[in-house]
Amino acid sequence: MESEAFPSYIPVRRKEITMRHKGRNLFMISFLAPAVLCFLFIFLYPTARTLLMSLFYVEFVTDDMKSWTFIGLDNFETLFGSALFLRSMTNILKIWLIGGAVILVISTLLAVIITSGVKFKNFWRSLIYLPHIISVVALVTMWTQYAFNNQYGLFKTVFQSLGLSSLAAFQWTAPENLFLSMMIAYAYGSIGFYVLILAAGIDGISKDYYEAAEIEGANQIAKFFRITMPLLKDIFKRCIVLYSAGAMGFFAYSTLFSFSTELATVTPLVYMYDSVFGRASGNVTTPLNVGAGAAVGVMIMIMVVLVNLLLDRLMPNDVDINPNKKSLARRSRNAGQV
Amino acid sequence: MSKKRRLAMILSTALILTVAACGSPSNSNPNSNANSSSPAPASSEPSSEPSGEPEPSLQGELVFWTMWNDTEPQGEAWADVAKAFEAKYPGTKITINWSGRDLSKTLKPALESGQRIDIFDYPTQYGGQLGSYALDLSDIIAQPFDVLGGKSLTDVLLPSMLETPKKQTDIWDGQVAVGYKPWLNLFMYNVKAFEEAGITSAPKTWQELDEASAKLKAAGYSPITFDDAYAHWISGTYLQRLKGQDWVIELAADTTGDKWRDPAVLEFAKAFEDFAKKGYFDANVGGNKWPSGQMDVGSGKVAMYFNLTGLPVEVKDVAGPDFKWGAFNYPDVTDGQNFAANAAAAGATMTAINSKTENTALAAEFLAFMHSAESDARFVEAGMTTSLKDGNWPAELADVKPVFDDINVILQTGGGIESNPEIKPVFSENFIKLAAGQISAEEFVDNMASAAKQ
Amino acid sequence: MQAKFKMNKREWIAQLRLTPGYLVLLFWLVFSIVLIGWIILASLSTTKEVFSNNLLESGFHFDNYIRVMEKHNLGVYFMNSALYSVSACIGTVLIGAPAAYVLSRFQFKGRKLLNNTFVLLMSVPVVMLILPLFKMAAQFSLTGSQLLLIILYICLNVPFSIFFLSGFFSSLPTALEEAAEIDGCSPAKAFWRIMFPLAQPGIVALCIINFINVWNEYFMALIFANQTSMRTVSIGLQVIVQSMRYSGDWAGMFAGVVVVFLPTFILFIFLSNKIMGNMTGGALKE
Repeated sequence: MESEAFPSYIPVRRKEITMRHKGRNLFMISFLAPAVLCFLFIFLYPTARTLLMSLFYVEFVTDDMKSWTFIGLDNFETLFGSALFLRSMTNILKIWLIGGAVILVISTLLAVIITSGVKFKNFWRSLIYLPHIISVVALVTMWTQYAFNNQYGLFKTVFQSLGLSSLAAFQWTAPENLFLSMMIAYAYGSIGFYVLILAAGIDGISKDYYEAAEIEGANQIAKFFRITMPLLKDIFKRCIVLYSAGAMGFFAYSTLFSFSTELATVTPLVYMYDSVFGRASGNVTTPLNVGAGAAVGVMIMIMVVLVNLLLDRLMPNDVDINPNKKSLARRSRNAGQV
Repeated sequence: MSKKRRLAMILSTALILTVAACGSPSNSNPNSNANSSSPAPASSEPSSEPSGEPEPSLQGELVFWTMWNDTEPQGEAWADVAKAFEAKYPGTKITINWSGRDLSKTLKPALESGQRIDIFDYPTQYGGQLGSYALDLSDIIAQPFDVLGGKSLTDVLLPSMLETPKKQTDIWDGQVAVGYKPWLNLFMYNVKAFEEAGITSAPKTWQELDEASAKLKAAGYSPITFDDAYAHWISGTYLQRLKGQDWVIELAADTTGDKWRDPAVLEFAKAFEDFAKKGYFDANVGGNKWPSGQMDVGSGKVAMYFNLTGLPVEVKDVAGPDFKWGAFNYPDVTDGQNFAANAAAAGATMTAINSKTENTALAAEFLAFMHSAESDARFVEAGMTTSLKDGNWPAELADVKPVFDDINVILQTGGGIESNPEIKPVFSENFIKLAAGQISAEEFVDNMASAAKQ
Repeated sequence: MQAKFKMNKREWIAQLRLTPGYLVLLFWLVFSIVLIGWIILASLSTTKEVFSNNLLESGFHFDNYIRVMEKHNLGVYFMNSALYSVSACIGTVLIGAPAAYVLSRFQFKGRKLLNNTFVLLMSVPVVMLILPLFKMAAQFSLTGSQLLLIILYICLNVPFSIFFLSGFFSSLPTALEEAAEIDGCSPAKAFWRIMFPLAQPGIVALCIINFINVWNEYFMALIFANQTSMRTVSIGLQVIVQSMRYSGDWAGMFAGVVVVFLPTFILFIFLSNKIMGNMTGGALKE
């Protein structure tokens, strides 16, 4: 992803624009300064401080560094000794890997359908994108208080009227099913975004390819695997990167699906929020552990790095050898910058 | 192109407009106030003049952070009390910040960062952590107030309203906060269902609960339900009744997994497995998301629910005005601790004054005002329990009062299982599965033991 | 419109072959209508009717809406969300566009490093930043002020904006700047007068993305908007839902969901084609 953002073919006319004016330096500094300041204060300093914090016992988030106590890797030990934290790591892996695979496959399917020549393409695209603009709180309320409800819920009523009593009795919000239910709601809310990107990518592929394939007698499925898939490789990668970033920060659905932190929905971010700001449930005091919260941050950071390395390994950039394909791939890649 | 330009223009105009409209965000943040004033010694405040008109010096604004939401009946009562206060003392203004239950997460950061807060509901979850922010109220509770008919808070309040805050915060020096809306952790039940099932007296032992449940089931009711949010209460309390609270706290803290192999845990799991097999739990109990279960009680489908005395207010829309509530303490179990007669989890909501407030006199006056007879009546109207010695009880809780009067040993909610927030969710989840009949008592023990082991 | 429906036989066959696709889309449509439609009906019923599954049995109850509108500061929530979203859009463009321009069109020492840094920053999870940011907010006495969320929403979106806009600037012909330079235009002036307007499709697309993101943002708002006066629509709705559940008023809760959802929905119906066109088309033109 790093090298892809500013591909080498960008026509930077360096010679002409270098150091012609004395004021050039001043100009560049003034143009870059706000962004660099933002980088230093909002990103670099906090990241460094969180790294440091993860090695200390810190009682409260606003405590000065003076009152921190160095404890080495104890925070990480605490995390790995906690069934709750370990579960949050399993959950996030499931969200990332299984959830990601399912969501991207469905998104691709819908994107292919939308671009397959159906009528009212714009309407369908907007319809599928719609949940993405609805507030998560509203969406989750619709799902938990209606669709999954075990008294008057949508699924229960539908299955009942179809005479499927065992399916109607299915407890969507029971501990063992809650994760699945949450992922269904999450998929409904996020698929539209990926469909939008992928459909734009498919639209960017020249129709000539498909026509040529049709003459050779290829069917829809063959066309998809022979033409669409290879040419959309970069866009798929971008979708995976975007999805991964979202998955690592998975929080809203978790807290909204559970009254208080529970195993089925806990994610590292929820765990961090609890250990830093307090557990909302019960009336018993539990000590806050901000250092452990910071350690969770470090763990997620490590996961992000690993995921990115893995992606670069599995899907290296610019492997197109065929020069004719390259311009196409480039166009579709740009289309994916949504 | 022109359309895009127009959109850009609209965006920028909107920014200018909104900035102009909301352009005074810093007003609400007079941090200089918070830092400059040293904790005003309460003793220097007017402790004389028990009679006479409200003092003209009572002026200014109070910022009150509350655990209620503005649309709950309790919140509406607070809004009315604040309005009445402003009407009584012209020139005063009460700004209420409706934090909701998240107050237990947002209050400390807000206090630490010096946001202006004069009075606050002290969330019990913080324990003693906010001690340095709570003004010692010892002088204020001894001081006579006109609104209390010349009496002091100590005179009019239930003694527990002064004791409970000390217990809940574990701060015994001085008076850290004053309680209101005392609550108990009880089995709340539908009196009509009990009558129809022919149950004449509330269960005192697990055996009697078993028999009562059988009768209720025969009468066509689902005997018991619970929600995910409170699953660890109905279960943890059993362990507490069996082995005592300290034992449960040790159990929760166990990191070897061995303690969960104790025969007592299996006995507890067997008891609930038995209830599940007999069909005493509502069919939806496995999937109940709060407040589905308590709504089922309100609607008359289920007869019993182990919860707080505040339950009737929460379900009153479904229950309707004619619903009669009964209550009994968590029953004793065989070879247990004999708690049912006088011990229960109990507590109160607490109000504290910020030690950094600029206007202690006004804050004290407001604290007294909320415990005046007329304010208390307004709270009771909203379904809250009275904090006054001679206050009235809400009509729907009339049958609950006797249980209240019997309790003199205060325990923890959930029997003590909440003391370890790491194990609590594991416990809840496995208990829900046990009650829903998905796992056996033995599996419950295995799951807990392996989860506790580090 | 008429002409569109007049299809020849071949087209009919082509459309017929798309039947499975249509079925999938139809399923999505019906599901969405039922989901949202039921919520709207429930918001007009009473709590008892919701639980007994007899919606609208006693007619329309618009008082649910009156209750929500009267009791909650919805106006404040909407104003706040608009303020945060609009200022995030403008702020990120004002900070990000100049930086993206310099980074993508000028050669200087450390350019590559800066470029890579900004791309890297995009993947730094918020959880890594949140604790120190909280401390800083307290230190500078920004807690309890809308300014805090404005600053955060701007700054946190800057790396993505630079990344997004760089592509647009790098695709513009250099002849433009050269001409401007010959005319005696300073580089800064050349940027604001010539290059910035030319990158407009990208900037509009970026604004839409940032607007939607900030409007629906949840985590930062939950942590920093701890006062009624700072709440966003998302957090405001959460408060409504929470309080309606505590008071057992489910009809009111659904009314709250509809009130929050409807304005966005209606706006989307009118603007969806423009939004989609800008987001995808804008990016494609690059």
